[in-house]
Amino acid sequence: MDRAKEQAAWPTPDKGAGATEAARDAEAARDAESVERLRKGDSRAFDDLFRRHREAAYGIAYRLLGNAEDALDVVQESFIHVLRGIGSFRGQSSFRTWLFRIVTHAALDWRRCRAVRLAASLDAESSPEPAATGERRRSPTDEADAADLKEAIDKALMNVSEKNRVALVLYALEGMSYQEVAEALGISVGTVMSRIFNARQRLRELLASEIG
Amino acid sequence: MTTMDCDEIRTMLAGYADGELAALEREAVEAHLAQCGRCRAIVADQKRVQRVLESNAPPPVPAERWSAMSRRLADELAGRKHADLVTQHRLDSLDDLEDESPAEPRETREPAARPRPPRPAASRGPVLKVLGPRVKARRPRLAWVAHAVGAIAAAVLLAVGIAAVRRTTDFGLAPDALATQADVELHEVEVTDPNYNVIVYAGGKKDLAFMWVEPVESPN
Repeated sequence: MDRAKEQAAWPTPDKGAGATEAARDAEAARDAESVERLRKGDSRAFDDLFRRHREAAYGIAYRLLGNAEDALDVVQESFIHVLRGIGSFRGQSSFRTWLFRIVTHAALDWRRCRAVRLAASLDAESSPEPAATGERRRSPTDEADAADLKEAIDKALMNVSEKNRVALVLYALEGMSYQEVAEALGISVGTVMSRIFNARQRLRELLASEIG
Repeated sequence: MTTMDCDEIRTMLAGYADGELAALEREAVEAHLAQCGRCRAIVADQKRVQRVLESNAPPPVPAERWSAMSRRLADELAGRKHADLVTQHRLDSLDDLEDESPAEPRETREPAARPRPPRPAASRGPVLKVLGPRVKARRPRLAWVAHAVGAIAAAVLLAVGIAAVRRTTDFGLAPDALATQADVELHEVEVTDPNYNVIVYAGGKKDLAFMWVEPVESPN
């Protein structure tokens, strides 16, 4: 690849920061208002918060657990935790960050409990890597290909170390900024960056045959 | 600008790929990338993995599952509201007690010198007599009620101002039901507001504590 072409292939880092940030601020303000109403006993405020954030909470739980049913249980548990803990939420971080922290911890606890029950089969580090199974993919309709890829990604995610996976899921899949991930996990932005880097590099290895 | 080597630049590549670097860092990375094909390949990999992840949505959740969860959470919320109402009832009881106190201004006295008038049983109020049994009977939901009562207790204590807390054996101050319990400790709380007496009852073995707040009665 010649240099000019290659340069063009490095998109200028820009996530549409201005618009995204404004939208986030508006969402955060709306959440803060709902939190205040919930504290005053307005049950519709809780419903608003649930509807606005349930999909994202589910997305995090699913990516950390690799199982939709478990993820839904974790989402429910997390919102119950929100309900019980709303009095102690001080608003130092946004509601969204607080919720995602709760979901992350709930999912990791859930996974640990499940790991105790199924220790051998769920030992992520010792299970065969998806990319290394040597299994030929079915020849395929597009749908089957997509399903295979999806399965491979879900499995590969489970083979990324827990701390790296959490950082990647929060950033890459739920649209949090590095700063928000750092706040949610109580680590520095530099550590977030390093974990995300390592998680993606690991996925790159695990998905070598799927994504080329 | 001095360019950084691969090891120095490596972990910044994720931040670069994601547009999360500050301007100076970004320039340093770009200077390095201009000379290093290996790191350019890593940036491309980081972006590729990110795109793949973003395209991999979790399985959709059927609407009825969300509805069922919503109902479960509404039940939880209703339980919480019930606890709040019970707590509010306690506050109302305290208000009633206050309403019964004399309307004329009381003279201000030093708390340490304040005599404690005898307290007729009838003035001990319904707060403890109602709260104790209900909290115990609803043990599985205890956390909500106990926390709520604790919060109110703290608020009341702040309102009346704590000067000192000391253990006491003056069981004459206690409601009969508690006074006969051998494992109940009494803590007399000396407050800065001369208009109230506060006593805390702590169970020796159970994780329950009751706070008794009553207005000081007028000498006449």
